[in-house]
Amino acid sequence: MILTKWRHAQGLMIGNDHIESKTPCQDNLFYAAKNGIHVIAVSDGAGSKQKSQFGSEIATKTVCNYLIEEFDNIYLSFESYGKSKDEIKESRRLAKESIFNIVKKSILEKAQELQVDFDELACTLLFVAKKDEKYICGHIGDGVICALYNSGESETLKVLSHPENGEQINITFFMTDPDAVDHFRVNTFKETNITGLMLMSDGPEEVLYHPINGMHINCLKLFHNFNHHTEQDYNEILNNFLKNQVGKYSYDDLSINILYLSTIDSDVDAEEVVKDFVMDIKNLKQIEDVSSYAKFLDGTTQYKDKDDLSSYWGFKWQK
Amino acid sequence: MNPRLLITMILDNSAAFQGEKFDKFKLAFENMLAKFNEANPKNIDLEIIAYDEFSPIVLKTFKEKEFKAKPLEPFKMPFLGKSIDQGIKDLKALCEYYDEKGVQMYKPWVFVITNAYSFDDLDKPVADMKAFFMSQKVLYMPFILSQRKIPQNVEALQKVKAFMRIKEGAYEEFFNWFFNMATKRANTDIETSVKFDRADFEEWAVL
Repeated sequence: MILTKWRHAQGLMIGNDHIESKTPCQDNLFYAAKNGIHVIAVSDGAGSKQKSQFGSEIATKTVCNYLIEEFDNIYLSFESYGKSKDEIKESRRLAKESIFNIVKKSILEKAQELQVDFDELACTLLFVAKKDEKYICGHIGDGVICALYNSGESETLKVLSHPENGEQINITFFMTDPDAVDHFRVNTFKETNITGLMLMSDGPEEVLYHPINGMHINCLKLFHNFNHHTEQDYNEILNNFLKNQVGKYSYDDLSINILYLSTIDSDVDAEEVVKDFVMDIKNLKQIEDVSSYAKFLDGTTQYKDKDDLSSYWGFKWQK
Repeated sequence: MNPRLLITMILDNSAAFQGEKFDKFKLAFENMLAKFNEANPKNIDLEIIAYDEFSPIVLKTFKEKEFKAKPLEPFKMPFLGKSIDQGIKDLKALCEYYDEKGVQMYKPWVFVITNAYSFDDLDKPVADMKAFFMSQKVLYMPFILSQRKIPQNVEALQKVKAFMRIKEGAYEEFFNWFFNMATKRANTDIETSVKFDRADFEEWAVL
């Protein structure tokens, strides 16, 4: 049986510079999923600030939880149908600012809790939320957001959001900047061909991204290799990749957050991979028949009762 | 002649409140209107406001005597501030009209039922609402449909009075309670206060 599912994996490694200077890893990642909505976020705390790891932590967590709840409202506000030009502009501004304000407020509260200045928690922020074929994408500062497009015949990687640096390459924009809202970019789009999303901080960006050529071709493998591993194993693999490969060239903190429409064959893939793949499926409603031999699984949709799925799967590991 | 009971009800039909949950809410709301129509209380003035695109939509105005409303449609823009503004403005105008005519009124009711999200700024509409409450005694009750933590967007409203959380899916029970309390109030002497008991809320509220 062919099984398909949106799965999440992440890699996070402290940079060599931070190890040498005995500062903590200031990158943070977060993933949230509910009712068919998936959100991934990455944030890089400013290296020049002592407590920026707390800023990046709260920023990623807040934006993910917020978009889980308000995905439809935000998406709707970006639609142009039935609105005048001024209304479109106004509703988009309001929606963008609602995300920005909620994140900014969470950082402000964290700074008060830690009794430090607001800008001590300076951080960038990148996020993508998806529900079916609808996407919301947001970004302030450096780092990069890319998507894997599958047309059926070929796969391509496209940059959805480029890093924004100031006058110099090592200067970027943070959530705590006075003019941050002007650099906070949010957009929505509809796309049926996306099968993967990847966010990365400026550490891996240095190695895997080129402003003209786009993403390094090896990024494709970062998606494909996920298919044959459990999430836990793949997180470990990503960590090793960041440490041993990317870390040779970038001394900054390194973080990659991936959401991928992963596919396995329950008759071919390892038992532990299959088990990991279906372990969050508790109800038949979470299984959609794509064909007689292919299923799409979504463990994020809510269910009332647990079904006994042992006879349904009939997998080797359950027999 | 019985005093008039003026009720302003603001309902949430934003995009985040949709699907099965919204359908259940809509059905319960329509059932409540049917009950009002059957009971046909002559001294209740009800206005129902919901969200539309950029301006609120008045589903039922005070002027319409029949308890029938325009359909509550999902997937609308959550401008709670504008809805409150509209509701208070209309309520204030009707209070002034009855005052001029010397018509006796019960304490008006303002019910806000929200999924706890708003695009627009609530500070000004809520300040205006508070100013109105200073000039006119009102029974104001805010209800929240979402089970999550109160978000920042609606904090201004929460500061006026704490939200009462409606149990997920217990909409029929909520609207039944509302219908019973309204008709009870409209049939009691103006001097007699209608008190709520914990038992009244147990069926539908998270206590």
